[in-house]
Amino acid sequence: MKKYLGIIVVILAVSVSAFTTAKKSNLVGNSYTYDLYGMPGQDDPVNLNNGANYTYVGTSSLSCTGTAHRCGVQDATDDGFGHPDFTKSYTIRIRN
Amino acid sequence: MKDTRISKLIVEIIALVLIFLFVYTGVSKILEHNSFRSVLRESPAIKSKANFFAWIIPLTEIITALLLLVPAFRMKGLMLSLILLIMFTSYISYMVLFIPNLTCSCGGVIKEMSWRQHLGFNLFFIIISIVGILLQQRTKDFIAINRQSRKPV
Repeated sequence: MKKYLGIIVVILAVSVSAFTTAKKSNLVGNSYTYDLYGMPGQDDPVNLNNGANYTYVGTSSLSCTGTAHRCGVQDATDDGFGHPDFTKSYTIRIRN
Repeated sequence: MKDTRISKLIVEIIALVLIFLFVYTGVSKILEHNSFRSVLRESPAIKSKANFFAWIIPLTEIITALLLLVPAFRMKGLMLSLILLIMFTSYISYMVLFIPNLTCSCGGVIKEMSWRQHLGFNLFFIIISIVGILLQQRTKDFIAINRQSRKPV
């Protein structure tokens, strides 16, 4: 039994990882998409993490084209003012 | 003798905890590859090599877990764990000091932690890795060889 403990832990870790990822992707409800305004100094983290620089676009996904910069955030929670709440979890969307 | 047995047990437990940590975070980073790569691209320290790091970090974590899994390579696994954790902690310290607003690129539920919580979390794993290395060195098995007959005694 002791011999297989390592394998059991690996299987457990893979299962927990897959479960938490699947659970997160299946979450529905208060997760919205926000488009980032194009602006000078957009790469500056202070601007990127300022919710006021984002505009609410509902629950649709963003179509981002161009160079590799952040174009918005998805699966974010609204802060009550139509902007993303960056104290909660969110997914960054970048131009590919 | 009893001391050695307890030390071996502690090393086993430490190895299992580290295996869980590295497999969990490594697999999460692979499953959420696009999101992980996106966050790395925003980190000023590594954004130019984000694509490379997005693959090499989870793969190194899984290799570390595999080394810890095999008793013959456990010492190498513990060493690699310590090196990885020190690298991650240095990166987190840099983020805490210079860019605290940027999100964490860690795998799974660990990314829900704040930078400071993450720093404490990593320091704990650094300590248990060091304890593991010290105990593993102490409990090394030796085979005594008879100089005349060359047979184990």
